Amino acid sequence: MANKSVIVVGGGVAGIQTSLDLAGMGIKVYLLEKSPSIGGRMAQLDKTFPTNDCSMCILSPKMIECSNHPNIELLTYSELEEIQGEAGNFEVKVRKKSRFINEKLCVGCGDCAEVCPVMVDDKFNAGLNKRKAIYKEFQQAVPAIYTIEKRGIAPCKAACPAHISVQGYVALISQGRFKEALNLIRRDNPLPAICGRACPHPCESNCQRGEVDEPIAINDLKRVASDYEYQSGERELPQIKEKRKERVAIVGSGPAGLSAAYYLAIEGYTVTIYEALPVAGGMLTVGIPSYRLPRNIIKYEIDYILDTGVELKLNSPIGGNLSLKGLHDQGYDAIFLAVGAHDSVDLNIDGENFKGVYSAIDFLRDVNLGESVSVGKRVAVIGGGNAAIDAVRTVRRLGAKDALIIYRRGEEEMPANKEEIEEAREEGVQFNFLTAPSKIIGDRSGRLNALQLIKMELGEPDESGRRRPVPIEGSEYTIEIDTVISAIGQKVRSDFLTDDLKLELNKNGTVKVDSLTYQTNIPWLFCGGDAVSGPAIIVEAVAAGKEAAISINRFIKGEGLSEGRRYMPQIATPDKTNIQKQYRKRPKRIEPAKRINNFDEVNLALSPEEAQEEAKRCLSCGVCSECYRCVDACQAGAINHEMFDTIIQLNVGALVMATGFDLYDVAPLIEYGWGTIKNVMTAMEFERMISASGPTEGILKRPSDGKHPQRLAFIQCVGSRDIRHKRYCSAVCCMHSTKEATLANEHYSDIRSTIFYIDLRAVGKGFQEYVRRAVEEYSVEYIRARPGRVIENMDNQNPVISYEDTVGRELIEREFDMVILAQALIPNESNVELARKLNIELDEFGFVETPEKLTNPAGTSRDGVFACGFCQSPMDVPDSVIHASAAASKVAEILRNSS
Amino acid sequence: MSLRIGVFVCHCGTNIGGVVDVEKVVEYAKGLPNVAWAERNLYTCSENGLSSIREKIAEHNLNRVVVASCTPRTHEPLFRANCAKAGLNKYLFEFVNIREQCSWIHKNTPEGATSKAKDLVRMGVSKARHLEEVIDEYTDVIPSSLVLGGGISGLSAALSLANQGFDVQLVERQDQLGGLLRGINRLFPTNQPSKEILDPLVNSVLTHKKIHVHLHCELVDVQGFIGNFTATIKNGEESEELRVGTIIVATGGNELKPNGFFNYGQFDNVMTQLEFEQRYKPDYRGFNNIVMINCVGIRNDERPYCGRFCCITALKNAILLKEANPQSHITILHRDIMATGKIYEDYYRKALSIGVRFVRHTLEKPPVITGADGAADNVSVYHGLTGGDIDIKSDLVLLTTPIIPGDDSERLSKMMKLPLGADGFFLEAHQKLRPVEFPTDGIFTAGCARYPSEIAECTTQGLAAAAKAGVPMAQGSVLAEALIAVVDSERCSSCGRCIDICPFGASSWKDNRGVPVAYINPAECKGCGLCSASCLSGAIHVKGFSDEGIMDAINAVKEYVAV
Amino acid sequence: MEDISTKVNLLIEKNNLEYCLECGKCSAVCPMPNVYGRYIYESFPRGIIESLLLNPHDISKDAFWDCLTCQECTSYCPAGVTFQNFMTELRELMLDKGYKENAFFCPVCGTYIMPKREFEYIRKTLGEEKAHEYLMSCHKCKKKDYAEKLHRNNPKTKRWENLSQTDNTEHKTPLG
Repeated sequence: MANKSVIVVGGGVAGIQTSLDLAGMGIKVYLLEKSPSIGGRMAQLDKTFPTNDCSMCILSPKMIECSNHPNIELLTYSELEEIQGEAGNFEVKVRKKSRFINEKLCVGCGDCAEVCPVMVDDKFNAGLNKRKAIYKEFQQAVPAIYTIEKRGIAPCKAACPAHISVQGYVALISQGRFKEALNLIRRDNPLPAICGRACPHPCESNCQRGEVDEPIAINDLKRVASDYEYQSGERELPQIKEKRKERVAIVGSGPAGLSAAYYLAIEGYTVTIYEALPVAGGMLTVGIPSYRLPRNIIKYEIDYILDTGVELKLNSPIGGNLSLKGLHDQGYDAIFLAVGAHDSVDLNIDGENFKGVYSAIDFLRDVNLGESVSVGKRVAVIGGGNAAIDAVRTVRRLGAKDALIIYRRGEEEMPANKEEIEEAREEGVQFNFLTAPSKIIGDRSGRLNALQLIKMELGEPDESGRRRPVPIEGSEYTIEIDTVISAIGQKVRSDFLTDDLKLELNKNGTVKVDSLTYQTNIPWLFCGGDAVSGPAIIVEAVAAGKEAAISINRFIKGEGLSEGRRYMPQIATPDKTNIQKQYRKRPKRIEPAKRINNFDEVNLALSPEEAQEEAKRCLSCGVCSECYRCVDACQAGAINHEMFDTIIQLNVGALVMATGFDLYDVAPLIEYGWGTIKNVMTAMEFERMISASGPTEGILKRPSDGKHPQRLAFIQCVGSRDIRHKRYCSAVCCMHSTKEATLANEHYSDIRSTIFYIDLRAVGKGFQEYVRRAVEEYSVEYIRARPGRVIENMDNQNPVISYEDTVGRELIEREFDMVILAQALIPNESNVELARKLNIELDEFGFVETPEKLTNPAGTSRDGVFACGFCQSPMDVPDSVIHASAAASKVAEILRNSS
Repeated sequence: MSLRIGVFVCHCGTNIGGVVDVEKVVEYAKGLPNVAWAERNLYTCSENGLSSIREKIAEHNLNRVVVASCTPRTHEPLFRANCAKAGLNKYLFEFVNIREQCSWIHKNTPEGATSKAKDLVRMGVSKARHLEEVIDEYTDVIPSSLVLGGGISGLSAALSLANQGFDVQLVERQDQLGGLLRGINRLFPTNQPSKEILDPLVNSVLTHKKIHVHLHCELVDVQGFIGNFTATIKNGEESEELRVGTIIVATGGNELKPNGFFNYGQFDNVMTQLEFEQRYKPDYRGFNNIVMINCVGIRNDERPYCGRFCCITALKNAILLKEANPQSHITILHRDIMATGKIYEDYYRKALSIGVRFVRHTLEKPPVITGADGAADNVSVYHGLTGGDIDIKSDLVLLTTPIIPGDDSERLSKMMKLPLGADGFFLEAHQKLRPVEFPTDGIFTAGCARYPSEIAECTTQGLAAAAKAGVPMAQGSVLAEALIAVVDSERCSSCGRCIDICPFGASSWKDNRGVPVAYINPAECKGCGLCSASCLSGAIHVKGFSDEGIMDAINAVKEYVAV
Repeated sequence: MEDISTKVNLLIEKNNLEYCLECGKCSAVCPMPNVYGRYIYESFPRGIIESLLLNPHDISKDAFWDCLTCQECTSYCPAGVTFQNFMTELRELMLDKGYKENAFFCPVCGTYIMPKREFEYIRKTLGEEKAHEYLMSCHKCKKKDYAEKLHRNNPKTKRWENLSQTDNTEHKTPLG
């Protein structure tokens, strides 16, 4: 028995009509439309020839009827995946693309779009204006709900270890919404001011704008957002969820510990941080010099976290009488261990024990804790990482005349930030590349006085991919030196290990954890930050703290720790064509002479205005920036950024294809200048402009200067009736241009239009009369000629058309204010793929082949599959509507007769 | 029963609530007479809002519901259905538009908008007091269709309807089926003999059990309305009554005989394209110099329309003539080649490629046919290159003439109250979106009766009309418009204005104790209100729009002005 | 006469002239107005096509010698008329039939180079001297001339070295 339902593919006027006819006959209809709303091309039209009815006014009731009809199920934003079976009994799989909006809850109020900061080209308006990333295609869209356009995760967000919605806060900053930007950052990173200064910003390395000119100055923008709050004093603490009775202890107040504390406090837990040192902040405080990260900034951010209710215990090292197990026994339900990596790695050369030899960790800690450290006049810092640069610049500030970097590889291989190397060089630091210490030489008092060095060369790449440095035999030389600081690595100090706890470690002394959940082999003990990863960047510690907080929350609530947490982003790549180069804004720095003898902050911030301008350079890779402002704005609670596509299985008796048309790209017709001459538009662009619901609300403006045009030229057959492009006649353009010319004159009586045509194909009912009215009442002039070229008058941006008047046999050059190209219409570009799935034949142009055109005009090469409207051949609205009903009739013959 | 009105004011996110102080409007509504309940909903159309309305109807015994929100265009059916779900007659619902007509247009003056919203709600409540229960009426539809015309359009429609399972009464004036297609030799663009298409179709129709063919019959009378028409047909003196639910008018058209143009009739070798096909089929050999003149009698002041496919007919015959005699010289004098669409451009190119020549002529400078002894031998036409007339030898001149409206159209139009356009073809309900329907429900059109159409188009339209006719017949009954006009016979002054003005032919005379008064057929009325507005004696009112209700709403504004 | 029209018709067919839709795009892109200072319908592609379709036997018109065979019309023609090729072949036919008064030939070997009018224009634009250098022989003769010069300048080809000493300044240019 045949299935008494049908699927209609394409929700334009043809698909709508077929659906309504079939639904009216009592047949269940699935109306499939790949865009978010039904309506198709007709919805884009202002008026329709030859009656000049408002297109939307006559279409909208039909759209609403579709959505209200009990026999029609709208499957918008959906695509056909697969079809099997035969006429009367097809199995169809449909992919319902995620709108990221619950269709049942959304009422289409548009509050979300109000707050969305992302602007993208509005395709519905032929790209003439911008719309938001969360959008309704047009006011009368059916269903009247919103959709979020996502192209995947922005590369910056994917690259950030904490997966901050970078594109999101950049977009918010571009609109001067600093406070919202900061709130967004804090969703994933509670240390925006610190990271805004000291983060090596992997986001910027992945920024797609970098492939056009330079990456967005993301980190500087983050700083501007945080400075904005700091300076305005408008501090807003996060909403704390309902207080819970469970307690969590955190060991270590570095970025990992602070982050975990913050996110756990938000969840309502009682959180206590145990810190070994007399100050909070871990490496932030004792590792990073204050010229790079001012102390007041660290204090500000730690205070922010503490103000959420976190308790901080200083001078409370774990080990001895305060053990992890002891804490657990005291009633902490879970413990997060974030002790960092505060031990130095030995140089392993002779003389390491001489006085005057420091590790960078110890040296920086002493300086940062305010202890007096004397370094002498000549100081060598061994290493090429950020710690080495921090040490050497600190040394300069402590008065050393000669501050040397000794690094065994070349400058290219240095792991330190490029900016920092540059700043160090400005400050007079000397760099010795391809050099390694071989021996420290001291006097009898046990104090060093010289350093023996050896030259290196680069050999084969090692496992890190960098070329391995190899000593050059016999190249040793000695330099006099007062202090040597080694900065070649850090390791975990394992004081916390006590016998009562069998905590598993890795070979290198770091703590072994589950890479996803940060849980150790002891269920209530979690660990993250440098203690797990070894020395790493701040934001990795932040990420670890945040993830550990999620795990601890789930652990305490007894939920599965790893469910749904694998981060597998589909990384978005934006369109990088046609982007004008514009280099990034650079914040000012204090001059080297003024900064070399103090610890004041070196880098200044961008001004808010500069920041806004900088943020506007963003390419919006992911389209939606995931700033989640829509989630906050939606009072219906309809938005869900974690939604997935779903596959629907349907059983139908027949399929009707009504995929309509696409617009032929006229850029290859270089002779007409579209894309290079501003005042040359396509017919669809003009249609949207003259449309009352369009971006200019029907006001005609020249794209070049916004002036009101008076002389319009319409060129017919642009890409149609042209063997170099499309051989066929697109069927509607003669009338379409006539309509546009008529409307233009109706809007502004001073407008005169000229239509250049080959054959004036006004063949439909009332069309000749329409053309006659255009001439007699709307001053439209018809010239039989195919213009040769359009060039631009550089003085006034007027397009100049050269043509041969084929009746008068004259060659004429004529200036217009605007030129409108009646571009060829082509079958929907998705037809090829769809036809492959449906196993039906297309003609050479991509239109559906109709084997028995005269007797079965809506048939295809496959039984039970029908095609109507423009996907079968170019036709206007009435013909499409008739064709659609004809298809319905044939479907009804199958479905009504077969039971 | 006392009036108990519930008012539900929608916040609509910031759409309304961002401008109008919704709380104040609710407070205001609470104080209006007969309002038993008023509340604010975040989104009245959401499931929360709808269920709240249903709960309040039960809780407060509401017997009128007013929603002040977006627009009735999209949401009225929803709210009405919701009332019905709560057991309240759905016509006791009133819509107040405080979004499009208030918050959106008064964005910058929130206080004014709030006070206007109050006014609109007051008007709505006033009108709601006069709402009356209306019961939806259904009419049964006889599952049988009358198809007028046995040409390709009628045949396609009849066959499809029969295949859908409906009875078909196919009425044809001629004594055989096939219509204009019978006279055509070969069909473009495949150039296959027309018999190949026509014979199987006619055969299927004649042998189909569901199709009753009435040849040599004429329709003489139609009574009734959608679902229940009685058609009288006559074969000579015999007449028969057919009871059908729907009617398809596919009566076709005729080829224009160009009397008065180009010395038609004066020369034996000057003829129309169709005459040529009929006269010389199947052999087109024997002509050496052929001239065709397109746009004969068409695209002029008298007949401004375009014949749509005449150009293609000329191309077809030119190609066939050239194939029959490759040495022949063929010139087509045209005004524009209407090779519209996907396939005809190639057809045109084919004619060009085999050497058919094309010369443009204009309405102002028409070609001139000359000859002697009843035979044309030359056609002269203005040619731009020479700047004067050129002479083209001819032993055959074909005049390409269009399809003109069928000779029966006018009679049928009057009999069935079907409108004709200025060009004499039947006028559809809506040129864009209802191209094969008449304004009168249950009657449809297809093919050349509507407008010149080529074979594929006739088939398509026949099928389309079949789909349209199939809808009510498949449903078995049709829901009549509920909010329709009713006549108070006692007040009717028998002026007949309503009968003239009704676009659906729903108004007619009825006897009221010997006096003819207006009667509006509820099955045909669409509730447009034209009759009510034009009635001088106030005898017609449209349900749901009682004069009292509207006057009360207006008075509610006056109240405000007075304050 | 019959012979000519058959040949012309063959060329028409070969170069798709019958597909012409008379749209005038060819004329609108044609550079002839810049060269000759004005537009003459009969000399432009459409005029030529129309004229030959009407009278394929008449190839005597002076107007057929104006086209610069530059390819512009051909590359823009929407109907696929290869007019440039047609003109080249038509001129071969015209020369073959003895219509030579409008043609300019290589003064050395007598090969047809270009229409006289075009030649005059180029000579005027380039100046006498450059025109000599670039135009005053067909490309075969030009190649021969270059070859001679190259040989003259090559010290290894002694035979030509000797020749060049005697013939150095006296080398005959076509106009010389």
